[in-house]
This record gives sequence, structure tokens and C-alpha cells, in this order.
Amino acid sequence: MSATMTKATAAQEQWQGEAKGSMQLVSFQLAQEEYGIEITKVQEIILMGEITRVPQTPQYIKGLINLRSTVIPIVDLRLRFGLPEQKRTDETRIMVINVAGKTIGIIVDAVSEVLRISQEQIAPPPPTVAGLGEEYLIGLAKLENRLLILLDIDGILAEQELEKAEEIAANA
Amino acid sequence: MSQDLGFQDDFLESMLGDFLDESDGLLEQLNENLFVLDDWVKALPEGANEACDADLINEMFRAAHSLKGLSAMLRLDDINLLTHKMENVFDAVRHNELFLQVDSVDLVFRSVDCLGLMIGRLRDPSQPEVQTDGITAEIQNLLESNGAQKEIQSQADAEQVFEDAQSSADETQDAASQAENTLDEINEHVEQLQAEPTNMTDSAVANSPEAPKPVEPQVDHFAGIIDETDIPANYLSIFIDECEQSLDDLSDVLLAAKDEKTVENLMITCHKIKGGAASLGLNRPAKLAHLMEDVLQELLQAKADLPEAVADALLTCTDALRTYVETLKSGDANSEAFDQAYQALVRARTTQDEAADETQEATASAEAQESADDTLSEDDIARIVELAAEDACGFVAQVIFEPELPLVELKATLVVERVNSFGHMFHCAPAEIDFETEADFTTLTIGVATELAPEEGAAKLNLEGVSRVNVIPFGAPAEEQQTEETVDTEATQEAALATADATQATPPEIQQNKPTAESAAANTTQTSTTQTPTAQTATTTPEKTTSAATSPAPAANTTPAAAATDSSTANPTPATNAPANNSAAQIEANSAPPQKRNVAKPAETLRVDIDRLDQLMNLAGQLVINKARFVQISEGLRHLLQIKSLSQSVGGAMGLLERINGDLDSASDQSGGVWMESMANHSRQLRDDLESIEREIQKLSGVRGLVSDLSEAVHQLDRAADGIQKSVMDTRMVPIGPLFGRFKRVARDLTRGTDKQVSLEISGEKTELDKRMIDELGDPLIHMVRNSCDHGIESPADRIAAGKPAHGTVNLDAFHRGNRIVIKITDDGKGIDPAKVRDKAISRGLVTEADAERMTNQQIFQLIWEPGFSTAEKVTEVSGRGMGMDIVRSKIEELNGTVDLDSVPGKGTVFTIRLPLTMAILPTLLCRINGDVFAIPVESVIEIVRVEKAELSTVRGMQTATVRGRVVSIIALADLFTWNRPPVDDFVEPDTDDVTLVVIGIDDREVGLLVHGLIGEEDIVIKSMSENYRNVEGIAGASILGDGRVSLILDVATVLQMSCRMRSTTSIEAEVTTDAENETTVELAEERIAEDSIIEAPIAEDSATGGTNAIDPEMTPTCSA
Repeated sequence: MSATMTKATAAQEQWQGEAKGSMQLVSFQLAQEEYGIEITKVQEIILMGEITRVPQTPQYIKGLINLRSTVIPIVDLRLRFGLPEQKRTDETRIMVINVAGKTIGIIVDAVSEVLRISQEQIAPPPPTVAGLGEEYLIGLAKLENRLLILLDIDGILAEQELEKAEEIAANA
Repeated sequence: MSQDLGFQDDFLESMLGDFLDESDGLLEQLNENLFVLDDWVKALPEGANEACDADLINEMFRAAHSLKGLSAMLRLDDINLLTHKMENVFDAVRHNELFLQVDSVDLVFRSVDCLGLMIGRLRDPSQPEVQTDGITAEIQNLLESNGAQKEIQSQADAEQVFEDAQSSADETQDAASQAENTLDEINEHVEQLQAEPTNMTDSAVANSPEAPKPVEPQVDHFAGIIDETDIPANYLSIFIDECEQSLDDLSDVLLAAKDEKTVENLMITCHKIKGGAASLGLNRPAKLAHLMEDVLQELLQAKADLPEAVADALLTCTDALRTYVETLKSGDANSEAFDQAYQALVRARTTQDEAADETQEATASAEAQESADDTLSEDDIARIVELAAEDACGFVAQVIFEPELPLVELKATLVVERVNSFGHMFHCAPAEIDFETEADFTTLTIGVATELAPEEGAAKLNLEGVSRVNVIPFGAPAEEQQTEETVDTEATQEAALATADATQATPPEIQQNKPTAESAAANTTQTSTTQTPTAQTATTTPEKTTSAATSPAPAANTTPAAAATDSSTANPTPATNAPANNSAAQIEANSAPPQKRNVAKPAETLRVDIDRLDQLMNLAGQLVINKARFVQISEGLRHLLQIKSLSQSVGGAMGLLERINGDLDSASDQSGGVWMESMANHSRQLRDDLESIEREIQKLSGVRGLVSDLSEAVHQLDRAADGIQKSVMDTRMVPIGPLFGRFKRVARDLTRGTDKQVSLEISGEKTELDKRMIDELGDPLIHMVRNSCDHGIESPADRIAAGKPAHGTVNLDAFHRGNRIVIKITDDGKGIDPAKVRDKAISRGLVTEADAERMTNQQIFQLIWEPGFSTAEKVTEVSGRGMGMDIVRSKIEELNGTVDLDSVPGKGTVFTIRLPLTMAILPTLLCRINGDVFAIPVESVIEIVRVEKAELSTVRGMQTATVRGRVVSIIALADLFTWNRPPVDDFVEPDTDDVTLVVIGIDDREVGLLVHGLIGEEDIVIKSMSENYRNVEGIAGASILGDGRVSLILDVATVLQMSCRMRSTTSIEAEVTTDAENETTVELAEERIAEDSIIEAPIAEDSATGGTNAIDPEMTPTCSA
């Protein structure tokens, strides 16, 4: 397990960031695109381990893992976004994020870095980016020579909640 | 004396929690009694004025009264006011001044609700404020309209009393100044007594007549002060904690460098101790603290520094208090040296300036002034006595408090509480409600109806802070019909002198006389474990006690026997009342021989944040997981260390080598040659190597020993872990009774305003559940009870038409069943009409018409769990929106439980909730299915069988096996579950001749689950899936295996349902496609399907478990919510 950052330091850094009118992001790779998630949402980053599959779940739910005696679900972000699945590589990581009171893991191709951006660097999102709808996007961050897609990870889970309700209805 | 009430903040805050705990119980009791009352009132003919059960009303009165007392202590004015009003109502009722009607009972119900809300708001300040004005006004109206204006009357009386008292003040002025002289004399003697290092004990003085209260605080000692004996253990423990803390503070401050703040700090701390002790009725320590405070107060006023002498004396006092607290804690009887401590204080103080004298004089004159006011005219008495019920006997008491007494209203409340403990208080002036607002509150006039002799009553009321108690008996009490017992100062003085002399002069005599008095006491009372000090005094100085009897001093009865009776009443149940034992024991230690000690330790309790218990539970769970891992490791090691065969083969190789060496030797002898030579060398080398391997193996057997040691250690760990887990669980278990009790109210309210008659019957209330579970169950249960009452039970007319009693019954039952707790909600109402549900489901598009046709009733009933489903034609204010049942199911499932319903139209409905005993640990059977590890709750595993593939048969497309004569249908999990990816290890089903079936079932339904490997039985820790994800059909939760992997727990109930569903579709398809199927098989299959899908009558189960189900098996469902 390679926990690279703790919640405490993350919160602290964010505090510092806010003081300067900027935000900190964790950036990661997914199918040649680079995405960013607010650092405060990220609890830790761990290596891929064995995932227990769960029946009656959508394709993108890879299953459950044991995170220090807590059972958390793992979402394959590629499948979630309708991208082709990729075999596990040495770079593949699980980002453990806290959203809406729940802890879930998301599988990403690689975690790049922690970076700080200022509000001016953020542009509103175009209707779609890399096949993703506007609803998942907070905006685009323009870095020196690349673009970072800022993900609204809450929205991703929120939709999951929606599906849950639908599924229950369907199961009935 | 400082009037600041600073001690409230700390001490009372910590008591708030206890108040909340306590109030729950009291509210519950109130509610319960109200139900009885409600039934009684309803049974009354319209407009009848009948007296109701006095015991019941008394009980409710006491509950309201306790709440009032507690709230007064905590300064919760709203609650205090409301409880007071309620108390008035109960009081009026029990004196037949008010006759209860349906409306008035309802009003009381609402008051109790209101109280509940207010108390709830104390818990959670975010809740909206509760308006009590309306309710209190209504109560007032009720009382007034019924002429039960006791309170108002008594207030008027009180005013009258005071006026009269004022007029007679002049007359008594002379007597007062005389009293002053007397007091001085008494003081002298008392001081003499104190200086005398005799073994005279506190209690020898305690009840003796020479220790009346009206002496100046400076010279008072602990004589007349007796601790309350009935302190609730939980308060006591709080006091002990608090007091220890304060004493530590005291010592710290005293020992630290002194500055101007020192005195102030000390005073605050003393005040805190005093407040705490006084509010519990621990009057002795309160007194000492009070005296300490006095000394400090003077210093503060004089702006003097703390002199060494006083500091030393204070330290002595602190030590004495500490010893006292220790004795409280251990429940051990020990005489504490308060007197000595106090003397030290007095000595230190006399070296102080003369200001004290002035204070003394001032107090004395105030005292004199006071005594002038305290006589009641005969008219007043007559007026008060009139209020008493006819033929009642009792007395009118006038309690005069010490002047300038802080917290006098609290004291007065205590007095009133006291009075209520031994009799009925019918008059109180000023009224209790005005205690806090009353200015110059010095005198409390009360009328009490009691069997108790006036003197005894007076003794009981003589609390700390009370300077005097005057009693005037009325009615027809036993022998002594004495007239006004005002202070006969002469007599007191005389008695005091005499007793003082006697005690001083003849300590040995006291000792000698003890046994006599004791046997007298033993003869007259059976319960008295303590020897009353009065008896001693009486025996020692019989000639004096006659005069003492007329004095207001405590319990100075004329005969030892009477005194003994007094003591038995004072300490009611020494054996059962743990806290009582403290003070009882103290008296005992002072007067009785040590072998008479009979003390129990007060049960020490600790309030713990439930979150901490949760955490502990979690850790215990992890310990269990780790333990499992250890077991696995040690098992694995044992397998690896099969050294026996290894050493055998090494031994064999050695033998073989020996032979080769021999052969080689002889061969080289014969033919010689370099080749042979080298061969022989190799072989020797080989032998050496083998020998060293053998040595290693020897070492390994040492390791083997270690491994069995490890196993032993793991075994120990196993036991410890189980123990921890069990203890943690036990800590969290609480009975379900109070939760059930709440629903009585729900049932009552629901039927109010309708003509429905529903009674809620409760059984199994002692069944214990995890506290968290109880908390979570309230919501779903309330929905179900509502549903049963609102939709289940029909109107009386319909019921009678259906041949049922007009009165409907809803039964709540809880019991243990194996490793589960089962809660049943049964009603004898109209049941669920499957056709209605079916139509509704079709109209809502939940099922297609074709599907619905094929569904069994049981399957149809399951539809009511769907969100938004309701068969109720109209939405009532109670239910019908269709959300309830969905909430119920999801809540129960969150608790890893299941809920089922069964209904017989026209007969009733049964809801069965099954919950795990614990929310955390589950014994399971681990097995491998298609490469995944599943945990199956052991309680649902009926048996494990291995069946030859050849013996399997197919009936209408379903595989079945015959197990011991039963036909069991086989299900493969892969057919039930839909997976979104293949098994991890690309599992290939082993090609064997037989299959392993785990027969799982609940109640009578069973299926054989095809498994590909059995791992074993293991206790697993249930991890909720919904915590971070959501619930998944067929899965009850997840758990972490010994190796750290996550495994899923099968939800057997749902799996059965799923298989049932699947089977019905498969079999129908089979029917359509294979007409050629032989007739008998079809029949068999149909039979089996019927078997599987019909739900067994739940009633049989009930009676088997010993649940006291009142309803007979005719249950019926009701759906909606």
C-alpha cells in the first residue's frame, strides 16, 4: 500500500491554497487525457490489489476491497466514462476519494502529480470533453503546455445513486 | 455568604445527563400508567364521576414529582412548571377533587408529550422550542373548573398564616431573647463536649435532644445532621467523582503559594462541594463544607490573607472529607472525623479577629427574630387541618430555615420531597411553585397526612439548613395528643445540659448500655440493622428524655422501642438500597458493634459515549479477524512441518549410502583404480552432507515444538478475543421493552378520533438487543404498528360482521431464535387482499399482467415492499402514501436483517423481522462458488451433502436431488446472480462425478446450493455494503477474511426468493416447451413449487418460541404505509 498523502496534510495544503485564492489538485491519467480532482476529496492513493466482484452491479463497479478493515467499492473510471477497459499496468492506481459521506476507490491509469492552480487558470467546460458530458465537469485548467480536465466527482457518484434507485425499481 | 450559584454550571451539567436518563424512565412510567388510566376512563359510563385507582394515581404523582424535583435541581423552569401542574392534577384526582374524563386524560397525555419534547430538546438543542403555556393554561382551567383549586387555596392560607404569625411576633419576642441566652449556654456545653476527647460518637449525639439546630453555625457541629439514606447510586457516583476533583483542587490551592485569589478560589471550591453534597442530601459533608466556606468568607470580607493556622485546619477538613468520600466509594462503614476537623477549624478561627463575634451576635439576633415569627395561631392550624381529608391524621409542620440560608428554595423542595416520602402533603405555604420567587423565604408551613408520629416527622424534616421544625398534630394519632410543640427552650436547655453531662460523665455506661438498647430495638423491629443512637441516649438518661420529648429535636421519643421504630423507618431497606447503606453504615459504625455491619458496595456505573463503544466493537471485530489469520498461519505451518517422513527418507538415503560405500570399498579393493577412488570420495561426501541434513532436521523438530507452542498461544488468543468480543457485545445490550412501550402510545393515538378499538399487546420485552439496533428499529417499527392499526384493523362494525371481536389486537413480540432476534408484529385485522395488490401492481406497472397471473399470493405480498406502493384507497394522515414499507425494508436490511410478511385475508397479517443478534459478528460457513468465496450464515445452513451427478434429476428444467428422501431443488449461484465480469481466476468447474450441495433454508423453504469447495466455519465481522456503496440483492454484506480479502455474505432469504422467482419462470417455460413431460413428474414439480412458495403459517413458530402471542394464527396483512 502506498499511501502518498494523508487527509490532514491535504486539508492543510488546501487551507494554504485558499489563502492565496488558488486550489490544489491531484492530476491523473485516463486514456491519454489528464484529469484533476480537488485534493480535499482525495483520501489516499493505493496500489491495485485483489478486488472481490459483486453481482447485480453495473459494469463499472469492479467490486470491493478491504481498505484497513473498511470495505469500499471500486469504480473503474474508464468503464464509468464509457472508455475501453485497459489491462492493469504498473502505473494503475486506485484513488480513494471521499464523496457525499462515502469512501470509494476509483481506478485510474496513472496518478501524475499534485499541483496548484489559480482561479484564473480555470476556464468553463465545453459541452463535451473526451466524450464526457458537461455534468461531470467543473472546468478546464490551462497549464503551461497542456489542459487539465477538472472532474466533478460528486456528480459521478450522484448519478450512481440515481442508478441505484432505478436498479431497485428494475429488480422489483 | 455568597449567593452566587456557580457550582451549578459544573456539577449540574454533569447531572444533566443523568437527569435525561432518569427522565426517560419516568416519562415511560407516566405513559404506561396513563394507558391504564385511559382504559379505565374509557370504560366509564358517560359523565360518571368515579374515583380511580389510588395506587395508580399515586404512582403517577410520584413520577411527576420526581421529574419536578429533578428539574428544579437543574433549574429547568419550564419542565418544573409543567410537572408541577401535572402533579396538581394528580393530587386533585387522588383527593377526589377532580374526576378524570377522557378529555382530561388526553390533556395529561399531551402534557407528557410536551415534557418529552422539552426533555428531547435538552438532548438536542437544535430542536424547536416547546410551548408549554397552552398546556399549563389548560391544566389550570381543568383544575379551576373542577373546583380543585387547592393550590390557590393553600396560597391564601399561607398568607393568612404569615399575617397571624406576625401579630403574635411581639408576644414571642421575650421568649426569643430567653432562647438566646439558652443557646449561649448550650454552646458552652457543646464546646466542652467537643474538647472532650471521649469516644462519644457522632450519632450518639445525633438524635439526642441537646443538639437542636438553632445554634449559631460557628459552634454547630455534626450532631443533628444525618445524611440522607436514599441517594440514587448514579448520583452518588457523580458526586464522588466531582467531590474528589474538588478536594484535589482544594489541596492544590492550599499547598500552593498564597495570593489574594487563594481565598476566593478556596471558597468557590468549598461551595461546589457543599452544593453537590447538599443536593444529594449528604448533609454532613455539606455542613463541613459550609463551615469551611464560612471561615473563608470572613477572611474574604476582612480582606485578610490566609493564615497558616486556618490553612492547616482547612487541610484537616479536606482530609476528613476525602476520608468520607472514600467511605462512600467503598460502601464501607467508617466513622469520619468531621468533628475533629471542625474543631481544628474553630480553633484556627478563634485566633482570628473579633469580627466573627459580631457576626455571631448578628446571627443570634436574627435567630431570635426568627423564632418570634414561628408560631402558628390555632386558627391557622384549624384552617390547614380542614384541608386534610376526613379521618386523616397527621400534623402541621412549620419548618424554619436558617437565616440567610443559600439555596433555600432547593432546601424547601427537599423538605417537600421528604414530606412526600412519608405522607401526603395537603398543604404547603408558600406553594412549591413559588419557592424560587419567594422573597425572604424563611418559613415553610406544611400540612401532612401521615401515620407517622409528629415527632418522627419533625425529625425527618430537620435537614441541614433548617433551624427548627414545629409540629402540631391533628386527627387521631396514637397515644400522645400533644398540643403545640413549639420550642420549649427551657426544656431543651435542660435536656441538653443533662445529656451533655451524662455523655461526658459516663461514656463507659453508654458502651455498656448498648446491648440493652440494641436488644430492645431488635425486639421491636425486624428490619433495623442499625442501632439507633437515640435508644442509647434514652437508656442512659431516661429521666431526661421526658422533657426532651417535647422539644422539636429529632426523634427524641420516650421509649427506646419507639426510637427503634424510628430508626427502622429512617433506613428502610438497608440490604437492598445500596446508597442507603452508606449513611446507614456510618451510623452503624458509630453505634453498633462492628460485627453487625452489613454493607454492600454501591454499584459503580459509568456513562460512556456510544461512539466509543462502537469503536471498541470495531476493534474487537478486527481482533477476531486477526485471530482467524493466526489460526490459518499456525495450521499452515503445521502442515509444512511434516518432518517425520522427511527424516525417514533421509534415514533411508543414509542406509543406502552406507551400502554403496561398502560396495565401493570392496570394489576398489578388488580392482583399484582412480575412478573407483573418486567414487568412494563422492559417496563419503554425500554421506557427510546427509548427516548435516539430518542435523538440520533435528533442529526443525525444535521448530515443530515452537509451532505447537504457537498453536497453543493462538488458542489462548482465540479465547481472549472471543471474551472481549462477548463482553463488548454484552455492554451494548439493552432490553427492547422500552422501545415497544412507545408504540402503545402510537396505537392509542391512531385510534383516537375513530371508532376503531385497538389494543397493543406486548410480549418478550425483556429480549435484549444491541443499543444501536434498538435506536434504528424505532422508525421501521412505528411504520409497521401504524400500518397494522390503520389499515389492518377494521372498524368495529366490520369486525363484528366478520365474526370477530369488536376489539382489534396488534401484538408485538420479540424473542431469540438461534442466532437471530425475531420481532413479530401480528394483527387480527382484515389481512391483505392479494387481488387488490395484484391490480395495484399491474396498474403501477410493477409487473405485467401475465406475470401477475402466475405469481403466488406470497410473491404478490412481496410487492408491498416496493417504494410508493399502497393499497389504501385514501391517504389518511397516518399512512397510505406508500412510502412506509419501503423505509421499513431498507432500514431492516441496513441492519442485516430481513422482513417478511404473511397474510390471510380476513384473518390478519404477520410481519416477521429477523435481525442478527449482533450487528457485527456472524458465524458463517465459508465456501467457494465459481472461484468466489461466499460466507453463508451458519444458521441458515441445514446440511451439506455430496450427491452423485448420476442421481440428479431434472424436473421441468430444474435440477433436483433426493436428499434423505426429500426432494431438494438445486440452484447454481451463477444462474441467480448476474455478474459483470468473469471470476478472477478464470475458474473452471472441476470435472467430478459428484457435486457438493449446501442445503440452505429459512423456516420450511430450502434449496440446495451448488458449491465447488468448502473452506470451513468461521466467525466473520459483518461490514455493511451500504456504508460506502449500497445494498445488493442477494448479498447481506461483506466481510474481511483472514487473508485480508473481501468476501460476500449470502443473504439466504433473498437467495431463496430469487430462486423461487426463477423457478416459477423456468417451470412455466418448461411447461410450454415440453408437453411430452411425463404426467407424474409434472405433478411432482407443481407440488414442489407450491411447497416452496407458500409461506408457512408463522403462528406455529410463535407458540414454539414461547412468545405469548395473544392472537391466534389468524393473521392478516395490510399493506401500504
